[in-house]
Amino acid sequence: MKKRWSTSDEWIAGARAAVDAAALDESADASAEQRITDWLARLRNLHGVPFTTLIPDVRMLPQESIRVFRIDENWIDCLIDGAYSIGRSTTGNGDLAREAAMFGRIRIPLRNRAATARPRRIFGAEHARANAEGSQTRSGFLLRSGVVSGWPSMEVRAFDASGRELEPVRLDRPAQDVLFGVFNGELAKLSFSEPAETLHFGFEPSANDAFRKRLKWITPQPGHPAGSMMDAPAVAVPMRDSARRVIDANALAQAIHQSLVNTGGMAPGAQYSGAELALELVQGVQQVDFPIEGAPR
Amino acid sequence: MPPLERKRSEIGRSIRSDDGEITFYEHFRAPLLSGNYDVTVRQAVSSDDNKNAFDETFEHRVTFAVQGVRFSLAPEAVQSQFPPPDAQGEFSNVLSHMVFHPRTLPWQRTVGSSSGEQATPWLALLTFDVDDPIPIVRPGTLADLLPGGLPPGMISYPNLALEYGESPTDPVLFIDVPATLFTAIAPSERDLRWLAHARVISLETVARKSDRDDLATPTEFSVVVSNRLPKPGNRTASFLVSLESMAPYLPGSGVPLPPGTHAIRLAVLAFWEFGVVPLQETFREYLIELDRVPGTPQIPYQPADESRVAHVENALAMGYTAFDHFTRQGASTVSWYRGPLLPFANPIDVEVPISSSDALTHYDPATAMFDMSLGVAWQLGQLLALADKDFAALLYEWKRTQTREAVLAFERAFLGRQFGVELNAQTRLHLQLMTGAIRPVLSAFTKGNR
Repeated sequence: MKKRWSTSDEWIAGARAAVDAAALDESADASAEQRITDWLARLRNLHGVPFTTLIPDVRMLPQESIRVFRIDENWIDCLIDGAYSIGRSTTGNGDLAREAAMFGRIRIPLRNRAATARPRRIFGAEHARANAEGSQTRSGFLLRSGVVSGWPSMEVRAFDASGRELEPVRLDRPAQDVLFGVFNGELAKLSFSEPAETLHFGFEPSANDAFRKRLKWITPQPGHPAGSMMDAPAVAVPMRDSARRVIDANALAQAIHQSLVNTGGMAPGAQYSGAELALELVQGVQQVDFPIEGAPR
Repeated sequence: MPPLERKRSEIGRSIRSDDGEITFYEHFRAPLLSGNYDVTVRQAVSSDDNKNAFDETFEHRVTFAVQGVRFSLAPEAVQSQFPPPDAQGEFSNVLSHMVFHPRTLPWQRTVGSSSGEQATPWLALLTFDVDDPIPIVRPGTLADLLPGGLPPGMISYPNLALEYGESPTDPVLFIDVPATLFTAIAPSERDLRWLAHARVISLETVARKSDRDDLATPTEFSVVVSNRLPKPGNRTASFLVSLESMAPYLPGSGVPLPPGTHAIRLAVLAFWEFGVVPLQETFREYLIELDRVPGTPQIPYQPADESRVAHVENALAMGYTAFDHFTRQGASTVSWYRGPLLPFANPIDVEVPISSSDALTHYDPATAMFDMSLGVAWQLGQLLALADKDFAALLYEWKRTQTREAVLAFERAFLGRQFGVELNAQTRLHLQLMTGAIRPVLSAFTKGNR
């Protein structure tokens, strides 16, 4: 039989097609793929991108202003592709088909990973919020104000048009007075509130330069959860030295305890300590909501 | 040291607000108070055996010191202060406070209480205003707090003993408070117990706060509150001072100050000032007064003269900025640039992968200007990847491995087809070829010769 081993052309064409398809069921090195996805996910959340690239002109974000935006996914796709272009050959037809195929494998995991990196870090890998899906559209806000430097741990919540809460993909301070937040979805309402752990103690002024305090329920009753305001008369704040405005903390604690027991705010035998006094004395938390209107062009 | 277990007796009472957002605790006591410790282990061994009777005691002693916060506080330990430093606002009816991360901080040392009450905090927040006057914070050393370094008529911490690791030259900040003022404004021992507590917030609340440089945001805090309301119209300062072992000098202790005392020297761990004026710099006021027009990141259009150029106005409204552009060919022009933060929603229409950033340069023939936004993005991504050598090497290796694996798989299939053998990836190629292809051919030869 006269069969010549002249299949070299066939071999070359076939090898090239195989490379272009990059059709592998299982990657030989899954951990490398995971690390590459993690690094690109950080880039997708704009970590490492200089702030002047995001806001090129200071007039876009003046002092004491708030701006909301949509993320341009075209820009993000180009950013990711630039990072992914390491090792890409561009002569002739180049590797473009191969690159497209290999990137296609990590495109969706990359989007999901970028959306869940932050909740994964806070709640752990098993939590429901750490295993959610990434949304196609992302939006966010920039806040430049003295309130960011004065209340650094203030709380931000974002909601979409249907009232569902959006997951923050990124929430940090590129500068002392700038707060940068990106959310997984389309923003319809932003809510800022004072940090819960810095609730302060305060009183209401009453006549003659004195102060008083309205009481809150300690032992919950039906219709009155713990911490809600009572209808009872306010307690006058005993002062140790009125001229110097020094309050008598011990007497105040006893007076509030007595009044709570008398008005039924807490049971007579229940334990009363600094924790209960703290609940009575804290002022409410301030919260400001910003609804976002206007259809995108 | 055993892990801190939350036994009821150690943490005191707790109460949750209605939505479970925050829980107040009476105190979190540290398992070991700060100080020097001495552990002696003795073992007595004896034997009654007549021949080898012995009765010996072996002893081993270990000394260790638990160093907590004593005269200085790291800035990272402070979560927040209220009113915020240098703020101006209606603070005349609120008490200033400080929030710390170590949840046991106010209970790590003792005030030297005579009643044996354990959970009295040793930190107090003293508030002064301009009329008092505000004491000056002086930098000094620990020697200034010891009896040898105090000027006549001044007292400081009684029985101050240096702990392990402390020396008289350690820096310390202190203030000198006149004795009458101290007696008027310092909290009494019973007051102190009401002026400190601990708070715990939920993880959901932590998720709503801004991240601090990848540090984990803590959920447990301790709080120390002042006992004095600020005076309106004045500059006010709050000082976090240590009252370690000072129970006899506190007001209401029944023990008079030593005769001839006219001032008390206290170590200051933190201090800040704020103004009490009818200006509204509260949280709510800040946010309500924010500039909201335009609501999206755009440069407001202000033409130099009367004429409004439509395409410039449109470009600015779409979030573009203009920059000077020096091209590679040496020309100098002005081009548009826009970041990823858009004032409107944009459909995804870019096709990746791209061969170079020049492919992403958009040109508008009507205005003869380039739009470099996507090209800048692509190049920025490339530079960021190159700057991280580990990532660049990893990606390059991964791509090469993928290509090599694809070619190998193809080769296996190709050879298998040629030899009519099914080749798999597990065993080595030549072994499979031997058993599957060559051996049958050879055996056909040898069989034929028999």
